[in-house]
Amino acid sequence: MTAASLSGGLSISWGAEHRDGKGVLISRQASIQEPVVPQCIRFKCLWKYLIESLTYVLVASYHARRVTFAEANRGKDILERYRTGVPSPDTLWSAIHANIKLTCPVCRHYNVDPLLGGK
Amino acid sequence: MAQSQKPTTQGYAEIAKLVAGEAATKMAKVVCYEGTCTAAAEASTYTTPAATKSTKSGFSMVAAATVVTSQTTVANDTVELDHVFTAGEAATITGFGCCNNEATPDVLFSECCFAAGVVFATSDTLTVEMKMQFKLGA
Repeated sequence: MTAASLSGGLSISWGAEHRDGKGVLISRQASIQEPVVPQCIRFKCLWKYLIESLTYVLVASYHARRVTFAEANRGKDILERYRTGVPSPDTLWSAIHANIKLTCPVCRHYNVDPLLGGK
Repeated sequence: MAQSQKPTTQGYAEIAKLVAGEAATKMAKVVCYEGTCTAAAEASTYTTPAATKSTKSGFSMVAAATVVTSQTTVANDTVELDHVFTAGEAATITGFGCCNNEATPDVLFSECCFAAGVVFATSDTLTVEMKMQFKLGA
């Protein structure tokens, strides 16, 4: 029998939402897909994979810290983006910004980006 | 910890058996995880999941509210499980897994680990959704 190969398989995505007894949203988890392992060893492929991997790590870190922050501030007034995860950073640069902003109490309270001079 | 999600090889085998008409049961039950959920893995099984299966009131193994097919790319290419857990006591949940339709399940189809533990008080709710797409192509 001739062997045939075919890419594909099972892809998993998920969602999870935590609400209090009154139905108020406390936190929503984000499902992030891992970067696909490159099928070539050209510099361009490896570089793309490196950037995607770094972005994945930073976006995952952002969501982990965001959920922890939202859970710790249950019932308090915080930016809705930290409860819903939307908008989610989707580039390396935006992930760096989002992580720094989340660590800065003043920035996250007034919704300003410290790397953009408070804009 | 980073969020992660995986179908399991145990689940692949159960799906293959269902297609072949051999003894197997469909995805029907869902259970929450507690404790450190290191990473969802294909090697996970019902007896060795990514974290401890919760026995807390409201988060233990239950029949999912709905398990249906839906469309991600083409019609009916996705199995979608939805359920709402209501906390009967305080708990910290770190993920969940989808299992087969046995009185005592023995197959874990897929699982996910949350990005961070979620702390529940009594009567809080956790709405979960798991989508497993049969995907053709990259």
